[in-house]
Amino acid sequence: MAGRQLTDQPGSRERGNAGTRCQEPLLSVEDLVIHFHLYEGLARVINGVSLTIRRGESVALVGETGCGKSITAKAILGLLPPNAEIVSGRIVFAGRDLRRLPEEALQKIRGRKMAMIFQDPGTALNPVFTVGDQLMDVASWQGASRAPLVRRHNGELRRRCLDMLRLVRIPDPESTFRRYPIELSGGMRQRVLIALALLGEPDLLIADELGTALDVSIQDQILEELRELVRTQGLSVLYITHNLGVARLVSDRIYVMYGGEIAEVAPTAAMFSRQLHPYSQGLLAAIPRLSGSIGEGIEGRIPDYIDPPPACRFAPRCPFRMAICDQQRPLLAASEPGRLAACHLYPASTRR
Amino acid sequence: MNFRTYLLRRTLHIIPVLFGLSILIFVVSRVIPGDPVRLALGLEATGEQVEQLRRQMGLDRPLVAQYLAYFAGAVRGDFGYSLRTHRNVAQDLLDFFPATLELTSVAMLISVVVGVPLGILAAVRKDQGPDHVSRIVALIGVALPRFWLAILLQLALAYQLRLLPTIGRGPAPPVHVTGLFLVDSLVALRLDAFWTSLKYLAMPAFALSVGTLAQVMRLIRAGMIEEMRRDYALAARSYGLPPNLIIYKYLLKNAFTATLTILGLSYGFLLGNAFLVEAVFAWPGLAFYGVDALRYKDFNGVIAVTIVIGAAYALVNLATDILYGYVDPRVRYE
Amino acid sequence: MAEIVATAGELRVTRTREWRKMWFRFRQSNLSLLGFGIIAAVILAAVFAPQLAPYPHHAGIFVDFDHALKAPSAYNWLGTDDAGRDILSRMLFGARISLILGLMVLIIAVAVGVPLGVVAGYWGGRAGDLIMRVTDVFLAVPPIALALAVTAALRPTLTNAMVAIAFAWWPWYTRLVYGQVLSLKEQQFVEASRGLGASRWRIAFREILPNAWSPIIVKVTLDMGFVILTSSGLSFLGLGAQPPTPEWGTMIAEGRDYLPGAWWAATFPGLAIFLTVLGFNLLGDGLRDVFDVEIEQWRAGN
Repeated sequence: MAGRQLTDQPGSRERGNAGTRCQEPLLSVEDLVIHFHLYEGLARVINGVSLTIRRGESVALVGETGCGKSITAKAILGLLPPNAEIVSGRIVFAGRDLRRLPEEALQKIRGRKMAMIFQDPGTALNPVFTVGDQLMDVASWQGASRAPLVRRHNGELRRRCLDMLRLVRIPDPESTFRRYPIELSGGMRQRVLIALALLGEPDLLIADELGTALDVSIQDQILEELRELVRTQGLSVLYITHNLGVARLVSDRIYVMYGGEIAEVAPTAAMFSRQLHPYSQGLLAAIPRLSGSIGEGIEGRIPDYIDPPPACRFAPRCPFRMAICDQQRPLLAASEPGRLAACHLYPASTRR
Repeated sequence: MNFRTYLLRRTLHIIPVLFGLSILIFVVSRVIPGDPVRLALGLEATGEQVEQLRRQMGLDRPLVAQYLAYFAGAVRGDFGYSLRTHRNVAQDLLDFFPATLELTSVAMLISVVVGVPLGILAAVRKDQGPDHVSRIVALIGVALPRFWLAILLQLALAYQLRLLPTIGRGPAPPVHVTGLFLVDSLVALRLDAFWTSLKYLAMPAFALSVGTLAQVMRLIRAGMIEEMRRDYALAARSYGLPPNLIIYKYLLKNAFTATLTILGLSYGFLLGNAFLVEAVFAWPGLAFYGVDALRYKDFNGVIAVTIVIGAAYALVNLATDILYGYVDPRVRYE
Repeated sequence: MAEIVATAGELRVTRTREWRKMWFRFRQSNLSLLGFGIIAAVILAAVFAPQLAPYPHHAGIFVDFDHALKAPSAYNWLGTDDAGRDILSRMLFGARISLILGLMVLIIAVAVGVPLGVVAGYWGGRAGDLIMRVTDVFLAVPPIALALAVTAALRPTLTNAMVAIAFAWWPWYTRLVYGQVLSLKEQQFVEASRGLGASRWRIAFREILPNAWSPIIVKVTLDMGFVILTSSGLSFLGLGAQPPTPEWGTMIAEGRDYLPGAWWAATFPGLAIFLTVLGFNLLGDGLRDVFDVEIEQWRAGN
């Protein structure tokens, strides 16, 4: 645990930032296919998802509810439910294929190399233990194969935990340490969740719908603070969100996901100035604007994963639908430099 | 509502309930065919002697007056006189109650100590071998007639194998502090007395515990399965915490608190079944005393036993409520 | 208006479809089917006891000391008791007694407890409070204890045991129904009925109660087993059925004196109790799964 300092001072990760483009990506998900064995049948939820995150990069995975974003995140951490099956694909983290690793090895990676900040602070904290108890346990036993049920007092670890609470801007760390989650406000609990995720000093953070359960103003505040923390520590982040505004605020690159597939990938600024995929266009049109229009929704619903559309999964809802969209699945290909789209409107996506 | 207020209301609630119970039992016992006085005195007693005793016992006065007299006495700790044992019922209670307390407490302990680990095992290995075995064990445990099991155990372990004593509670330890033989023998630092008392306690306590054990096992299993689905369980795994810590510390606490309230309810069934088990093993406890009182229509005895059992049951439930509030902070801060 | 009436009609049609779906689900569980099978066997044994028993006259007053305490053999599959009576025959008649007793107790308990629960839950007010207070008093002691106390007041016979157990059992149904009614009261179809001008009686008994039946049915099934356990316990203590009635508990008490030698006299009746209770439990569990129902375990003072 020594060697890395948890401070507000920049500099602890400068090495990573410098040669970013020359290095291998920190996380590379390649053609992930995940099926769910449901009572009603086999749900082909994730249908070939690929994404990469480089060191120090913040990436947003944007899509409506039910598109499979959370499932992708859980798959990366190896926390899928028992009825889920990873059929094919690779999840490469720091050069290792996580699918090939046994559970014990995965447990050592979780928390220490990559960590998740959960969505609902009301349910992600264990209600019958104090904040301090949970922090200390994570600090003491993260990655261990067994742990005693009673912890011995450790002043240094305690200081570390308190520092972490300070880092996430909790006003009175000492008293918060002794409190139960129910005694804290939603915003406080969210900060505790962030603290828990950062405790192991991971290289990659996955933030699942951060702040959606909170007041909008508090959500903004926390996102800002997290962005600052991420910047100073040089962390990589995968933001999962259905909210484009959030994506714009925090990410360098955006992946748009629909129906268990990636529809479009682009740097954030480029994505907002011009969208390639009809779905992305629809998403942006749906945002109410201050200037007056209330925004138009996209007709239709998410696909039925048990009986999905045969080729392009967005075709049934697409205003630009063509014959080939029901025959051939569009490839996620570079239609312009630095941008990818999976749509037959762009020749690169259609196989000859 | 504040937790303390809730507890206060619960405690106060016990009083009218016990009050109502005493009225109920009193009315039921007095409004009967059959004459306990005549039974006590025997067939040779003259009408005069019967009348005299009846007047002495106050049985010739109107029902309400009888009840008020009884209540006044009970509040002072005087539960009347038993025509059967020829002693004050209060004294009888003090003599017999500790045995039942010991029996039911040990039975409850067995249920928890054996039931909880088995429940966890069934949950962690859901739908596999241990889970199916636990389900069968639970089904059998709930359906077994307690007195039949007691008899079978007696037959097998006491008569055939001569491992354990057949009936009774065994000799009392040299010191009498609580009336609980296990405790008293430890206080007297006599391990041999402890061991002897334990041997006498083993079969009755086990026979009594079986139903509750099955229940605890299934409840813990269900509780743990539900806990494993929760967000904070997933979060704990995502931080890299070791599985034994997650299961035995974080999930178990929640699952157990949910079981607590039902444990309180189970204690009532433990008390009820004590009547049968004590009869089989001639265990000198309150229930055994109660059954005798019933047979000989010793109504003071019956009433007193009923009220004591009602009070014990109510106190145990109150205790579990308090424990629940202590363990689960959400209740306290509502 | 017409829509609301049409919806009520649909509600009933859906229920028929649901019954069929439930039966299908029930059939899928092996354990539930086993329970069903056991109970069917017990019922058949009870109904056809005179025909099935090899020595039907042994169920009443009969002595044959030449054949007393004989081990299980070709003549007496389960052996004979101390009066020379065939245990198997007596057990078959005992099934009658247990089933009828269980049925009677629960009929009384439901007939008394359920309406009280509906009244307390729907009307509430002072009557409701009073009913629940009385229920609390009855529930303050375990049912066996209460039944025992009541039998003390009456002569120990099977009928009186039945009355005593029913006396102790009804409050559980009041409590169950009370909770159900409280939660159903708030639902939309009740408001719809009230809007149509239905009287409170009609709403309570024809709208709410039919929807509360599933937990009651599950509880009755499970309770059959527990009532039989309680009644055989009472008989065992000598406070229920008296000899020579071939009640299972009484038979165990009689056979107990001859342990360890003639083990069959006390063992087989107990096995009968065990299997019957097991059957009802399996059946009840299966029904519970099918109805997707949770029976809340209420406590005194809660």
